[in-house]
Amino acid sequence: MKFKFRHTDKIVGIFFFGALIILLGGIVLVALSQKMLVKKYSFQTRFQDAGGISQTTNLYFKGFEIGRIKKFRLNQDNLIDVELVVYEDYREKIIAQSAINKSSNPITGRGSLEFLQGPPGGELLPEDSYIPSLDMPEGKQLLLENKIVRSGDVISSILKNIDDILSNLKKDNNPDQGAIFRILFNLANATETLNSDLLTLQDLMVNLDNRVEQTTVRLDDALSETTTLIRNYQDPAGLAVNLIDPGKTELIQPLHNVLLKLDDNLAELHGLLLFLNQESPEISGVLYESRSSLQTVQKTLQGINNHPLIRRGISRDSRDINRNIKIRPEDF
Amino acid sequence: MNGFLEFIHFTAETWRRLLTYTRQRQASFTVLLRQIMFTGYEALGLISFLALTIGGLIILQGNNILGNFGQGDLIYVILVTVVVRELSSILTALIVIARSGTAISTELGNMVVNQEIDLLLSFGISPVSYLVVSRLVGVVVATFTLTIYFNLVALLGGWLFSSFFSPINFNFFFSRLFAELSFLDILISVFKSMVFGIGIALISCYQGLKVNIASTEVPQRTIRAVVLSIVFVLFADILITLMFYIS
Repeated sequence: MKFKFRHTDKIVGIFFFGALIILLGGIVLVALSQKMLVKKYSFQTRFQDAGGISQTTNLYFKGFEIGRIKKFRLNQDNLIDVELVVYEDYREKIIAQSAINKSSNPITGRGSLEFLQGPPGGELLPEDSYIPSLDMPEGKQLLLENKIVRSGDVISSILKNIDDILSNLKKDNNPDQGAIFRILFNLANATETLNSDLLTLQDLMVNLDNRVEQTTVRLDDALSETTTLIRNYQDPAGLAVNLIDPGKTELIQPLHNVLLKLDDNLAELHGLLLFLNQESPEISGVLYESRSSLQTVQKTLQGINNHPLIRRGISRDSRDINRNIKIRPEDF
Repeated sequence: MNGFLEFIHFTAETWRRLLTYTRQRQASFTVLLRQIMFTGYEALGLISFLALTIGGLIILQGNNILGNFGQGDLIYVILVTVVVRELSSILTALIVIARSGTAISTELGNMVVNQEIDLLLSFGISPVSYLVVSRLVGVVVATFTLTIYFNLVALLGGWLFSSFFSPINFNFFFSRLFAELSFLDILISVFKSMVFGIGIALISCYQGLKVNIASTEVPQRTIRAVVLSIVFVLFADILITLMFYIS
């Protein structure tokens, strides 16, 4: 503490003058970074509007800051007259048939100017010359004649790329262009064809369902007939059998063989219908009915085979009562 | 209203005495140096720490937010706008109020209570000339100096914190920063600090000298000095910003 009191003047002097030196250093650095001590050359340009530009807007060439706006004003023709300054180091870049492009950042709203240099070997523009901007017809003409090449900022480049892609999408007359569009077109055609095929397949499936249903109904009828026939043979005291075929070799045995074969065929048909049931869920209901009928037939035939005298074969199932009654109405 | 008029009168008297400040230089100059020492030099550590963290935090938050949409370059604009234009002078002023404004008000209040002011008057020494003017100049110089250090340390802190997370060249960082910095920014920062210093010193001295007899008045006047100084700093900041940037 004593040291502080003894050397207060020195400490305060260093403290204060140190800050002054820092302040002066900062001012010099700002002046240097803003090229205030560099010789500048003045040029004129013109824009349609003052959007994005200010007194501090810089002029860039190939990413280098080569100048800045000095002042701008609205003229009698409602155009913006701008006075630019270009730093001495870049003076020789300002040649004839050059132009200036104004672009602004859509996020920050801050604008920047880009110097678009004319064809190489062009004459050096004298000080205070007019450099057209791309807002003006002279600048657009230079761009159309390919005397200058426009290279925007990052956002402009992205937008330009999107624009190119969209342009390619629109083209279909040139075989080398519009590949994306053609792919999309072919994909659309393929989708349409697939849709049409699916509709046809749906019709086929409906027809198949109908046919399977019809076949099943016919088979059901045939089996009913068979059941009736077998019932007729269940009477043990049937005189007709004794009269027609007492040895049971002329009629009964052949009939027995036929029924055995029919049993084998029905088993195969059962397997086929099971396969159809797996393949097409829509017709599973129909197949279920068919399978039930076939099981009934199979039981009947087993009963016949197991009883040589065709006596007391299969007791009537309660469901058999309603066998010939259609559950669904005709127009369902 | 009477209080405000009295304060205007006190301010005018202080400015009048300031013009004759060099005449009683020897005694007042020591007071001035000690005031700068206390208000400025001794607060340098706190100011530097605050500036370093503020600069670093701005860089961290700015990089985090702006980097997400590719606008990391705006960090330099934010540093200039937030630190140089606003925070440096305001935060320095708040530190000066907290440390020196309270001290000045308390010291002068106690001098009134102890009748030291009456003693000075009896010797024919103006308390405004001897006590207030030196404190006014001291606080203004200290605030101005501290603001410059604050700016320097905050900008260095910004670079330092940037380097921690994504190494950045010192020259590149400061060349970009100085490209965004204008003379107006520096001028306003310095101007604000001086205005704030004047306000803080005058309010604190006035509130200290307003103590009458009782020592219980001292803390009350100190609190009032702090509140009025903060209000003055914020209003003055808005007015100066409006005056320079908006218009």
